[in-house]
Amino acid sequence: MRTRLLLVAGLAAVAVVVAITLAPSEPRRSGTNNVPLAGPVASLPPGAAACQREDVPEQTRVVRLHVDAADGRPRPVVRVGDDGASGRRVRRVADGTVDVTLARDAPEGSAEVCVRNAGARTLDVLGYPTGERRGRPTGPIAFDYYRAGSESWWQVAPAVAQRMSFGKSGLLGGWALWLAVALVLIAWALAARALWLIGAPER
Amino acid sequence: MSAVRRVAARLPVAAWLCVGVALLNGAAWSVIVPPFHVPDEIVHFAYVQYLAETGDAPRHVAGRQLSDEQQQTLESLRFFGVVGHREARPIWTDSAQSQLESVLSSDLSRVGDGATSTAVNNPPLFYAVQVVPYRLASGGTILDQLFVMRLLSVLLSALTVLAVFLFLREVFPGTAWAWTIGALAVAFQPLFAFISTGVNNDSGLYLASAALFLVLARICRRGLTRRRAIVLGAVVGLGLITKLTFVAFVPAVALALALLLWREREDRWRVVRLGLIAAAVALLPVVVYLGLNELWGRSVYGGLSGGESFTDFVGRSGSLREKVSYIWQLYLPRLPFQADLIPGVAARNLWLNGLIGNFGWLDYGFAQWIYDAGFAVAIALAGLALLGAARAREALWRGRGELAVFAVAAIGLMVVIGQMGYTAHVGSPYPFEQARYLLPLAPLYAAAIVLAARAGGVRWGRSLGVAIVLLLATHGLLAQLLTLARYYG
Repeated sequence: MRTRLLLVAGLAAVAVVVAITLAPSEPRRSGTNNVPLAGPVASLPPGAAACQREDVPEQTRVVRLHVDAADGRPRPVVRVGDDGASGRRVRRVADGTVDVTLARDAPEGSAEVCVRNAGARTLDVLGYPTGERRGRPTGPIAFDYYRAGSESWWQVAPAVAQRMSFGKSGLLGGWALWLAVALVLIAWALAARALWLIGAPER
Repeated sequence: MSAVRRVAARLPVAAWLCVGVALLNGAAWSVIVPPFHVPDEIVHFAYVQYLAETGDAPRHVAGRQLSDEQQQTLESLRFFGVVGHREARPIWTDSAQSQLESVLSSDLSRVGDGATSTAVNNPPLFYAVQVVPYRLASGGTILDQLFVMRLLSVLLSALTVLAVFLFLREVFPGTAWAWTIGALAVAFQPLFAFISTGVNNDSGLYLASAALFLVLARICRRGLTRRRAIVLGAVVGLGLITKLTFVAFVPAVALALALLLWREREDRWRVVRLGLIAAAVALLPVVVYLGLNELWGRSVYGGLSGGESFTDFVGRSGSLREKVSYIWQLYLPRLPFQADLIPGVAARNLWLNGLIGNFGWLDYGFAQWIYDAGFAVAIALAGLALLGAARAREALWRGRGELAVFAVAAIGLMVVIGQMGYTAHVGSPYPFEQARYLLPLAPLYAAAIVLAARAGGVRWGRSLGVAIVLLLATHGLLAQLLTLARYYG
């Protein structure tokens, strides 16, 4: 009896742990261009811009950049697509990392993403240097894309379910996340049954 | 077949439940982990594909390791940009998915050059078995094939858990509840589940090792019969042609046979005869494999010597003294007179932290506080296991011969890992050791968990066991959530 009570209490505690783990509300990623951070790839004097074609993920409201401003006060302006969203509201996330919030969600799909230096001093934008032009490194800029505001994992679950359906076997269809959740739940149910059995009084 | 059915019918319900847990939990991992993100999965898949498509095994020749189909699929999945880069993510957009689908439907060649890779040294048994699901799903895409092959690996992991359950039944015959505790601890172990979910011959090695521990426990406790000799030989032979690391267990098998010889002194010729039967059965698959290597034009034992280099890196030759020191430091604290060959404390940094969780191609893990908490839990479990061992000291003393066999098996594996690690240490730019290489000792891990639970005695043992399993299962669940966040969050 004691063992079974412990099992029930333990399972309840596990449910609480999972709920707490998934509860924190934070900015959530909508995608990334997977460009590793290796150094400056564009050196922008005041007013200059650097653009590159991107596969912009859906529900993108914030573009994260890695920069090095000569005066320590980066002021990048980001524009997505010719008639797409742009933003100049900059939030410093960490040393050299800034989030630029767009006025509205960026249109999904292929688009030109431009970074313009609205500051008074030169702005270096970081990415993966692959070559040189006029003695300065060039290469793709590293962009990370985020959804609007802050969300818990529970809120972002539908997006995770959609992402899990990409790049997978067609046998899984669009159900990969829900299938995984179901498999885990049944596995736990079987484990609980096995542990319940060992709590039976000895005969 | 009827023998298998008879054995299956004799299994307790708890054994089936543990197998079910391993199957479902493993299947969940196989759905969660993106294609090819289990370590070395690309080269293991390539081995199967080459074997299935040509009837030939890859060898140490220059050329393409992967077929056009696999190479272009990996590129469309952005695999090479994601693996090893924690902040990178697999494809998340409709346009990238469309591009992938056009590659998947473009009828690219499925035959590479079967060239040198880290999998080439491996014997072909695991890959030959994986040809079956590969063929079954050959009407689908390469991702369908990989998924079905992963399910076969999951099945092997479930059989491993069954072997662990039966091993515990053999070792702790009077404590039925403990079999479930130990088997579930293995089923939920996140690194075991993660590795077993992929197309990687480690899952075959885990099964062969667990089966060997089971057979050794049976023959140590019940003696050697003709049937057990044949089973022992079959397990050893098939283990050897699953992964060469299995050779680490041969000294333990020899010790078990020597113990039997000593124990049955009055009938030693019977033991010798049965030992020879076991050896003959073990040699049979090995001889077939050697013959196949001749046919395939591979080196005699598929590179058992490990002499082939995968890079242009030219290392140094090392020394025996340094090798012994290196192997010592891999598992034990460095002695004052030893040069520091491995930074930090390997027992904790490499093995314990690795077993707590170092996933993907070693590119993501938990926050540091989880490893610190895991260290505390491991110390507590080790203390409980010692207490449990002290409580069972009389039984352990009676089974000291069997314990010696298991100890030699563990030491053998650790030395073989150390030997390969040292070869990499002096001759390669990449480190070799990974925590997954210790997972063939899963039966001993399960036995340690059982001893820890038994520290609670008759009154508290079951409750302590349930608490330990819930803790370990929660660890597994958190690893799954971590994996979801790594690739999809």
